[in-house]
Amino acid sequence: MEEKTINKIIEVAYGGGSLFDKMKIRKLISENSEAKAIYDEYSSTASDVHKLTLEDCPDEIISNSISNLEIKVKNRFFLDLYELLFTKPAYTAAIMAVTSIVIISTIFIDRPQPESLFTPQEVEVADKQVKEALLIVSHLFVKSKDTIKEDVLTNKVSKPLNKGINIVNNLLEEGGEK
Amino acid sequence: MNKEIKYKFLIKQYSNIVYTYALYMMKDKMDADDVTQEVLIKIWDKENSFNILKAKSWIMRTTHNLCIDYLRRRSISYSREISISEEFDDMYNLSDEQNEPESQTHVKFMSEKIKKEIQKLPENLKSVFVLYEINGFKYREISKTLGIPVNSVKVYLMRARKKLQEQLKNYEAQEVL
Repeated sequence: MEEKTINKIIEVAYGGGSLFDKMKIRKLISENSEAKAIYDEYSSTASDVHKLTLEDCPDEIISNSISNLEIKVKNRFFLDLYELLFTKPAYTAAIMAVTSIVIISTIFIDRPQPESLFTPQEVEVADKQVKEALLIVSHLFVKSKDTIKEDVLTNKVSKPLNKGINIVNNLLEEGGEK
Repeated sequence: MNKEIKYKFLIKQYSNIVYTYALYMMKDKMDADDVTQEVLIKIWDKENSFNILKAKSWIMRTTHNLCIDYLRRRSISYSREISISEEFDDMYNLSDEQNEPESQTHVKFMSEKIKKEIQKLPENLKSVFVLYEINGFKYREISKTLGIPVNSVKVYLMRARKKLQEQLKNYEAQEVL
């Protein structure tokens, strides 16, 4: 029998192969006693092999691993914190941003509103007094402007200046005649 | 916290597969225990370096590599005497007196015989055979785990089946004698 055919018989005996292969091998073993003997032999072994199950991993190995893991997790707390703060700038930036927002919100939003110290009537009186004071100041400014314009500039500056210029002019004219 | 959940999930999912593979490869319970423990530690240490979807092949590749390392070390200085068969014997003896004693005893006897013969297979054939027939891996998964082409996996599997059959024949011949 060809090696290829034997391999196919073994494959089918172990439950493998395509549907076509299975049909072909079934036909072959029904006609060929040698093929049937090979098939039966391997099929029996395959059946025993397929009854084998996974071995259970001893509990102590698993519990040792879990307890090691818990120790490592405890020891890693500060290392994780360090990594979080210094090796991942994005996290640090995010934490800083959140902290800043919280501080600013606390200052501006939670700040207690000052209670009003004056009654509306007092505020109205004060307002009136401020307006009067401003009116007085305004009046003083206007008066000062008029004084400067009419008294200081006209009488104290323009007139003596004109007088002086006229004297100079007369002297020059007299000098020219002589 | 997320890492712990992932780790516990991986342990629950793969510890038996790892242990079974190690037991068949090492033929020694103590070595299998050591390999399994080491694999579980490696899973924790390297958990971030592999995708959970590819965990199966990563874990089995690690297990296979560790088994090979242990076998090499053992070939240099081998001193232990406890064999996998003794481990299996112990397990059968412990639970031998349960219901349906005759059929159970027969099944256990056959299983023991098969296990003993599987562990006698050459390493390259045994790794493929155990992964395919006992751990239920597919050709492609075995190929990724062992780093060999899919066609080689098929060839090794066929050789392993033939070799196992041959060994069982010899075993039966010896039993008759």
